[in-house]
Amino acid sequence: MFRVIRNNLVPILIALAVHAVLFLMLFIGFDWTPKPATLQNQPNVVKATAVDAGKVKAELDRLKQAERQKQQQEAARIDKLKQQEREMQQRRAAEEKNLAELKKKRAAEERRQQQEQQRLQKIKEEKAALEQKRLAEQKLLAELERKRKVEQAEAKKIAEAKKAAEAKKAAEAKKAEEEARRKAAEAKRREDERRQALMAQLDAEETERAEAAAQGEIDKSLALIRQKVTRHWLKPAGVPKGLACTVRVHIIPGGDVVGVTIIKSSGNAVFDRSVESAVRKAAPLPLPADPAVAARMREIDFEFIPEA
Amino acid sequence: MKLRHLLSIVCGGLWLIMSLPLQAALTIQITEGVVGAMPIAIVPFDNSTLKSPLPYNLSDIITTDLGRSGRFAPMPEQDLIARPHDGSAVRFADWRLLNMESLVVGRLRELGGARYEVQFQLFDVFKGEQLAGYSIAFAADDVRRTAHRISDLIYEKLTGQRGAFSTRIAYITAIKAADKSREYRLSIADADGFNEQVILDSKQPLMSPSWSPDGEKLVYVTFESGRPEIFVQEVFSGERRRITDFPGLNNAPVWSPDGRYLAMTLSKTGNPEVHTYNLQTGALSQVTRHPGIDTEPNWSPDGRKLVFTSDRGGRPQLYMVNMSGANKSGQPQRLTFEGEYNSRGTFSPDGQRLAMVHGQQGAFRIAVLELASRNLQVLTDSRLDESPSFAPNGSMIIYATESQNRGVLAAVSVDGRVHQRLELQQGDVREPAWSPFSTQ
Amino acid sequence: MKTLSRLSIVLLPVMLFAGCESLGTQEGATVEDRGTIAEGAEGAEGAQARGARAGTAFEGHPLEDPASLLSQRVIYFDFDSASIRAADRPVLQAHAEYLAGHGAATVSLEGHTDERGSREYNIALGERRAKAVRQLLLFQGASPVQLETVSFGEERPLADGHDESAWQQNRRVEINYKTR
Repeated sequence: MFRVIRNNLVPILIALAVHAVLFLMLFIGFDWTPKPATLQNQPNVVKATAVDAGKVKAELDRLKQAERQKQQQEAARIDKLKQQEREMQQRRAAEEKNLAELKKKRAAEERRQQQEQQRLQKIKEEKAALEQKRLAEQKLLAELERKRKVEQAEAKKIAEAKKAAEAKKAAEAKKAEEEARRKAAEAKRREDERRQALMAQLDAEETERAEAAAQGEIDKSLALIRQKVTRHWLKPAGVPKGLACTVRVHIIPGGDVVGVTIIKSSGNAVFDRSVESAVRKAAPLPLPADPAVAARMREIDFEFIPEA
Repeated sequence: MKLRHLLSIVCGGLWLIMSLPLQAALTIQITEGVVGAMPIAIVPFDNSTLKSPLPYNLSDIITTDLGRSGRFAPMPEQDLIARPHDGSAVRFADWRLLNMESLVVGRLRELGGARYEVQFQLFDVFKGEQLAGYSIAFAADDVRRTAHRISDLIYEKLTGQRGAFSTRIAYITAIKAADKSREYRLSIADADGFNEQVILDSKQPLMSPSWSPDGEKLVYVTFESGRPEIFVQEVFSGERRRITDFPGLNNAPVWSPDGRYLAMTLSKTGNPEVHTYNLQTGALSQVTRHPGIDTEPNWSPDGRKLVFTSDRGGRPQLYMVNMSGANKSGQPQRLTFEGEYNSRGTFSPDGQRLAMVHGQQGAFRIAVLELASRNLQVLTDSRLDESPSFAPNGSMIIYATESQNRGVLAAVSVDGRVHQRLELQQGDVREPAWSPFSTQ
Repeated sequence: MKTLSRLSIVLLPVMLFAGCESLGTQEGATVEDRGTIAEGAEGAEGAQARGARAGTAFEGHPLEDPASLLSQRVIYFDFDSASIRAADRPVLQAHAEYLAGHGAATVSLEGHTDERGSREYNIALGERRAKAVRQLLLFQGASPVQLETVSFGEERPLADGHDESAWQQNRRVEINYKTR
C-alpha cells in the first residue's frame, strides 16, 4: 500500500493539489460573485421642493432621462450578471466534470492497487503454502530416517547379544577345561615335590658330607688360583685410577685356560689386556685332584679391582 | 602337616640349588698385582735383502727406546729363542713359555734411490693376536727417526699413552778451554741424546732455554753483552730477536701454554719480580710484588696458574698464583712446606703434579708434588740435581745432575722406579728442556 | 707498599750492619776452619794500620798496592745469604772511601753463587749479594753513578769442584774497577 503511494507520489500530490485549488476556487468564487448592488437599487432621496414649471419640466425631463438611463444601465448590469452567472455555471460544470474524472481516475488507481495487493497476497500465500509443504516433507524424511536407525540399532543389539552369549559360553567351557588341567598338573606337581622331598631327605646326609668335602677342595683351589693370578698380573702404570674389569675364564681339565671373555670391560684397552694376560700367564690354574670336583670349576669369573 | 609340607619344599629347594651345575658361580677377586716392566721381545728385522747395511740397526734403537722408558723389559737379543720375521712364522707357545707378553717382528726392503721400507707387526703373545702392523717408507738418513716412530707406535699401543721417543731436548753445555775461558753452547738433540746440533754459542753464559708450545722456537737468557738479556730464536732458521734488556735481571723466561706470553723475572723495579710479557705488543704485567726474591715462573698447562720460587718465607719455596691471561688474579699461596729448599717448580703435562728441586740436609734432589693430595715424592738420590723438565707425555722427567765432576743429564720415571743417564759428549751439560710433541 | 720499600732502602744498610755484628761474633769460633775467610777476619783489626802504611811505603797506584785493603776485591758469603760478614766491612769501607775520593772511578759489582740449588734462583741471589755490597758502599760515601751491579749466579764459578771448599770460593761478589 505504501509502496503504491510512494511509487505514485507525484501524481497523487498533483491530484491533491488540484483538488485543493478547486475547492478553494469554489469558495472564493462565491465571494467573488458580485452581490446585487443593493446600494444602486436604493432610490435616491428626492427633495420635494417647489420649483418653477419650466424648470420643473426640464427637471422632469432630466429626471426622466436619468431614469431611462438608469433603467438601461440596470438592464445592462442584469445582463452582465446573467452572463456572469452562465459563465460561472459553465465553469462549475467543467470543474465538476474534472472532479468526477479525477475521482474516476483515483478509483481506478485504487482498484489497480487493490488488485496488485491481492496479487502479492496471493503470491505470499502460495509461497507460505510451498514452505509448509517442504517442512512437512522434511519432517517426514527425518521421521523415516529415525525409524530406520532405530531398526538398525535394534538389529545390531540383537546380533551382539547373540555373539556375547556364544563367546561366554565358549570361554566358560575353556575355563572349565583349563581348571581341570591345572588341577591335574598341580596334583602331579605336589606329588613330584613330595617324592623329591622324600628323596632329598633320604639323600640329605650323604649329599651334605660329599658337598662339604667338595666345597673345601674348591675353596682351596680358588685361593691358589687367586695367588697365582695375582703374581702374574702386571698392573699397568699410567692408567686412570679406579678401573675395574671382570673376565670369564674357561678352564679345561688340567687347568689350562682355553678362553678368556671380558664380561665387564674397564673401558681402558691397556687395563683389559693386562687382565687377560694375567689370567693366561697364570695357566695352568691349580684345580682339585678329584676330576668330578675339578669339573665344577670349568668357568670362573675374575674381578680385577685394584686397591688404591 | 602344613609345617612338614613347608619344610619339604625348603629342603627340596636347597637341594636343587646345591645340585645346580656351577655355571660361573665361582668368582675370584684380584685386588693386587705386581708393578714392573712389561716383557717384550723385539726380533731384529730381516735385512738380508739389503745390498748394504743401514747406518743404524732399527730394532736396536727400538729396544733401547722401550727399555729406557722403564715401562718395558726387552729381552736381550742373545736370549731370543727364535727369529721370525712375520706372523706366520711365530710359534706363540714358545714365547709364552718365556712369559713374553708382546713380540715385535719385521723386515726391511730396499725401495731404490736410497729409500727403504720397514714392515713390522706387534703381537699379543698370550692371545696369539696381532695388535698392530705397519709399513713405513723412509730415507737412509732417517733411520733413527723412523725407529723412534716405531717405538712411539708400540709404546702407545701397549701403554695407552703417547710415546715421546720422537721428541727432542734443548740444553746448555759449558766447555772450559785450556786458558780457563769458557764456551757456552745452546744445543738441541733427539730425546735419546743423538743428533746433537749446536744452535748458539757464546763466550758468556747462556741460560734457561724454554720451548715455545709449537716446538719451533726457544727462548733463553744470554749474557753475551755482559748482562742478562732474553732472546727468542727460531730453532730451524736460527733467526733470533732480543725480547728484553732492562736494567738488572732479565731471566727465567718461559712460554705460556697458548704461546702468546712469556713469564720472566725482571728486577728493573729494584727487586726480582715475576712479570708477564705480551709477545705481540711487548706489554708487561707485574705478577709478584714482594721485597724477597720471586723467580722461576712456570705456567700450568691450562694457563690459569703460575708457580714460582720465592724466599718471602725466609727460604726458597714454591708459591702459586692464579692467572687471568697475562695478569694475576688473587694472592700467591705457598705450595711447599717439606724441606728447606724447594725451587724451579714445573708442571706435569696433565697439570696434576709439580716437579721441583728439593733441598734437604744439604742434598738437592728432584721431587714431585702431587697437587691434589699434597704428597711429595723424592725421585732421585744424588745431591746436585736441578732443572727438572717433563717429557710431553708426562712419563719421564729429565734433569741435570753431577757425575764424576761433570754436569750430565739424567732421566727418571715419574714414579721414581726407572733411572736413566743420557750420555752426551764433552763439557758440563745442564738445563735440559724437553720439547713438546713434534709438529712435523 | 711504596713507602715500605723506600723505608727498607733506607734501613737496609743499617740492618746489614746489625746483621754483620751479630754474624761476626756468632761465627767467631768457626772462622778458623775456613781458610780464606779466616784471613779476612784477621784483617779486621789490622786494616787501618796497613792502610796507613800503604800510603807511605807503596809508590804505585793505591789500587795496586798489595798491602792495601783495596787489593781485596772479592767479598764472600754464606749459603743462600746476602749478609756481609763483619770481616769484610773494613775492605768495603776502604773501597767506599777510595770511590768517594775518586769521583771518576767506577766499579762493576758482580754477584756469584755456588752451584747448589736452582740456577735462576741463584741468579737472583747473586744480584741480591751485589746489591748488598752496593748499598754498603753507598752508605759509606760512594756515589750511585760509580756503581753498577750484575749477577752471574752459578754460571761463572771461580773454583770448579763440587764440595764446600769450592763452593765457599764461589759465593762471592767481585769488585771490578772499570775506571780508576
